[in-house]
Amino acid sequence: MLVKMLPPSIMLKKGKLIVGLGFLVISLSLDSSFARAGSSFDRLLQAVVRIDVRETTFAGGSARLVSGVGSGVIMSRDGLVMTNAHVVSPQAVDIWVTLASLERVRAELLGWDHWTDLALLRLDMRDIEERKLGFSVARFGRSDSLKPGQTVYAVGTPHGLSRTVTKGIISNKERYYHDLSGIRGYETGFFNTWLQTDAAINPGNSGGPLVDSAGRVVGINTRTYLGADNLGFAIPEKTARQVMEALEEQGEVERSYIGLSPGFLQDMEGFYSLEANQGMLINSVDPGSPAALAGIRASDIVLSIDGRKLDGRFPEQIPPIRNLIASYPIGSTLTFELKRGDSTLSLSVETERLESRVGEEWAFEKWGLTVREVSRTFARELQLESDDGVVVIGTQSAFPAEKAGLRRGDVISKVNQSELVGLEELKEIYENFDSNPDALLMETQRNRTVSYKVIKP
Amino acid sequence: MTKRIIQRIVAWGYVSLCISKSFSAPAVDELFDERSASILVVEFFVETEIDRRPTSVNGIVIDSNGVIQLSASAVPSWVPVDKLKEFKVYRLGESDSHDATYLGSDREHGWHYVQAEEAIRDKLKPITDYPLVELKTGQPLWGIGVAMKDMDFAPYFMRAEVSTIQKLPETVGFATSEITSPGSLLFANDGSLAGWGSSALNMERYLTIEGRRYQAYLRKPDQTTAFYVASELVKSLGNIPESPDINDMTWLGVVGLQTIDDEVAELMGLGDQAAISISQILKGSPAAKAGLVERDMVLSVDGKPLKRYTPRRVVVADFEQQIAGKTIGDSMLLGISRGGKLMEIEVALEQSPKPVRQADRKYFEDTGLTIREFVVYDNVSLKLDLELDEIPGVIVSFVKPNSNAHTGGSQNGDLIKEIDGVAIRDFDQAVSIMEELESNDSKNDFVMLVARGAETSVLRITLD
Repeated sequence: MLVKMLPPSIMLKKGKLIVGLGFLVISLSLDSSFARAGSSFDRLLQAVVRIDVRETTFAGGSARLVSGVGSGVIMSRDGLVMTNAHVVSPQAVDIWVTLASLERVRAELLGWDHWTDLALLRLDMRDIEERKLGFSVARFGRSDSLKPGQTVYAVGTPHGLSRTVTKGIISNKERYYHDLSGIRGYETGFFNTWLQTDAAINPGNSGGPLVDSAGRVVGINTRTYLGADNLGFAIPEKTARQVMEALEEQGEVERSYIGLSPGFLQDMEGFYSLEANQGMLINSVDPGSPAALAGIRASDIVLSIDGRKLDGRFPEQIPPIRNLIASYPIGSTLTFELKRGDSTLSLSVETERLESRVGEEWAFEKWGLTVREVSRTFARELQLESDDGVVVIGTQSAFPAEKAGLRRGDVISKVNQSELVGLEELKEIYENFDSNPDALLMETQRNRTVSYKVIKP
Repeated sequence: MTKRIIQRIVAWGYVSLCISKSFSAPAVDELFDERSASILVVEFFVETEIDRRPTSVNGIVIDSNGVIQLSASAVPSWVPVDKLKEFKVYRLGESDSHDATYLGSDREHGWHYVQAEEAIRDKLKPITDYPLVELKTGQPLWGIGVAMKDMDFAPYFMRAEVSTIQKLPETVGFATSEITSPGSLLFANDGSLAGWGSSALNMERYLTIEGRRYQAYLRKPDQTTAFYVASELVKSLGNIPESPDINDMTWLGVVGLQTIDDEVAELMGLGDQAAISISQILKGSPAAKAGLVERDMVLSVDGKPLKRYTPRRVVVADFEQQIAGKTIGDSMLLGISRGGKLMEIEVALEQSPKPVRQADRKYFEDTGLTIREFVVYDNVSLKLDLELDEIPGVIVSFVKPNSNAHTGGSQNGDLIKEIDGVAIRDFDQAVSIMEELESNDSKNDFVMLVARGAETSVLRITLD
C-alpha cells in the first residue's frame, strides 16, 4: 500500500513528483450552506498559514540543511499553530510562518508527536504585537459527528500555492491503513484512524485544515495516495484536539507501552469459540516487554482490559484499542482478561513509557559520519543483544569513516576494545580525537557478524 | 566465496594485453578431437512441489569408470538429493543422450560427481591420461568451447594466453580473453592439460541508454576467462562420497568469520600476522565445548600461522577449507588471541549437524505448504541462540501461489511455532497434526502461530 505523507517541497526537489501547473487551477463553487456560513469560512481562511521550514538532516554523513513548505492553522489567540510532525520536526532550525495577511513571522516548535503526525508551533507574538499584525483563529468542529458524503474543504499550500481551497466530501470516517514508511523512520499512525476525503490534497497541503461548510476544523490534512486520484487522509479532530492539549502543556504526548501487536480477529471468532463482538487477537509480544514479562503470549485473545470489554475484530477497531492502552499513565497496572485455548486467565501488566525506534542523531563532521543512538525498540526490532551502541546512518565518501569501511546500518558496539554505551560517550571520544588525533579501533556488528574498523586522522 | 573473489580479481585480469600472435601447434586439430572426449554435457532437473527446472552443465571425465566431475555451483546446495532427477549425459557433438547417476559431492571443494552408464564409458577419455603443464605468465593456451544444445553441444576451438595466476585459496588462472566454456578444459600447445574452466566472471560495464548512464555487470553464460589450474586440481580429484546423501562434513560451530585487516591487526598488537575473528559460536558446538568464545581471534591452525592471502578475505576461505579437509573426530589445535592474550585451544571436530538439504520435508497439497525440519543452522538465519537439541518449530520451505496457505498469509521462511494452539516440538509431530487437519472433513480452517524476524503473527488458513 503506497500511502505517502504529503511532503514539504523536499520531495519535489528529489523529483519524485512532477506536477503540471494546469492541474492546480482552483474552482470554488459556493453552495447554499457554504454561502450562509460565509463569514465563519472567511475567518477560517484568515487562520490558515503557510509554513517554510529549514531543518537539519543527518542522512548523508554530515549535518545538512533541507528546506520544505507546508501548511498550518492558527488555533488560539496566543498564536498556537497546528501542523504535521512531518512538516516541522525538532530538527528544524528556522520556522517561518506566512499569515493570510501575507506578513511573515517566525515561530518556534512547542511540541512534536510523530505517532499522530502532529506538531504545535507558537508564533512570535512579541513581533506580531510590535508590528500590529492581525490573524484569525480557527475553531474545532467535531470529527465524530461527520457523516460520509458530507461536504468538506481542504485549505493549504499545495506545491507552494498559498491559501488554496479545494472541495470534496468525507469518503470514509474510519480509514485504517498499516503504515510502512513512517516519518523518516519514526513510527506513525498507530493510535488513530483517518478521515478519508476526495478533496484534492497535494504535497504542501500537509498540516492544513480539513473543514466543514461552516469553516470548523474537523481534521488536519496529512497524507495522500500518490498516483491515485482523490484519496486524501486527515487526522481527525478528536485525535488532534487531545494531542494539541498535551503538546501545549508538556511539549510531547506521554504514552504507555506494554509491547503487544494486535491482530485482527476477523473470521476467527468461531475458531476461538468467542462470544459475538468480543476479543482482540495478539499477533506478537515484544521480547522483554511488560506484556512478555507478565506472561502474555502471541495468539492469546484479550477479552477485556481493566474490566473494559474489547472488540478488535476489524482493522479499524485496532487504533482506538492501542490508544486506550497508551492513554493510561506510565507505570499503571492493567488487568488483562485473556482467553488461551479453552481457559481464561487474568494477568497484570505494568506499563512502561512508549519510546520511538529512532534515537538521537548526530554528525561527527571530521569523520564524515552520522549516527543514531540505538533505542530499546530498535535493538528489539533488529534482535540485537543490547541497546548499547550507535547505528551508522550515513558516511561521506573519502572521509575517515568511509575509508575505514563503516557503512549505513553498522552498529558500533565498541571503541578501542571497550563497550560503547551510547552517543554521549562517542561525542567525548570524538572530542578527544579532535584534540589528540590517534587511530581508533571500532568494533561493528551487522547481522550478528562482528567486524573491526580503524578510523585514522 | 571463491567466486566472489575471482570477480574482484577480474578487473586486472581482464586489462591484460591481448596479444594476437598467431601460432601453429603441430596437429592441434587431432589433439582437439581427442581431448573433446574428456568433456560431457550433463543434464538433469530439479523437481519442486509444482514444477521442474532443467539444468545443463559441462563436466570432465576423471577416471576410466565414467565418473564426471562438475563444479560446486552446478547443483544448488539447498536442493535435497532426491529432488535431483533424470541425470543424462551427452558427448560433445552428439544429439543422443545416455543415462547417468548422481554420486554426491566432495566435502572439501563441493565438486559434484556423476557417473555415465557403462555403454559409453570406453568412448570417454579421462583427463588423467594427459601430461600436466606448469603455467607461466604469457604462455599460449587453447581451450574447448561447448556450443548450445541446438548445435548438439559441438566443441569449438578457442585460444588466449595466461594473464595471471592467483591463490584464492585454490590456484586459479586467468586468460587474456575467453579461453573455454565453464566446466570444460584448456590445454598448452603440446596438448598437456592446463586447466578446468570455472564459471565466468562478472564484467563491470556502463550502459548508456538515451543519454542516461547505468552501471551493469555482465557475464557470459557459455565462455570464461577463469580456470582452475590443472597441476593443482589433479591433487584433489575424485573424492567421491560413499553415498550421494551422506553427511561427512566436519563441524566447528563458528559463524561470521571475518579476516582482520592489516591496520586492525597492527592496532591489536598482532603485527603482520593473518588473523580471523569469530562473531558467533553456536551452542553445544565443538567450538563451544572446547571453550572458544565470541570475538576470539584465530591466528594459527595446528601450529602453523594462517597464510596471508591477497585479497585478505581469502584467509577465511582457506580456514574453512582446512576445517572441511579434516575428518570427523580429528582434532584441530587453534592458536587464539583473546583480548590480547595468546592461548592454544584444541577442538575435537564433530560431524556436522544435518545440513538444510538433508532436512526432512513434506508438502501438504490441500494447504499448499511444505514444512521442513528445523536444523541447527536455522539458528543463524533466524538469529536464535538455542541449545543444540532445542527445536522451536518447523520451517515453511514452500508456499504454493494462490493456495490456501498463501491466501492465509504464509511466507517462505516462516518458523511455525504452533498449529491450532499446539506447540510444535518436532517435525513428525507437525506432520501428524497437518495430516490430521487435512484429512478431517469437519475442519474448515486452522490457525498457525509463525515467527518472522522479531515478530510473530497468527495466521488463519482455510481448508476446502
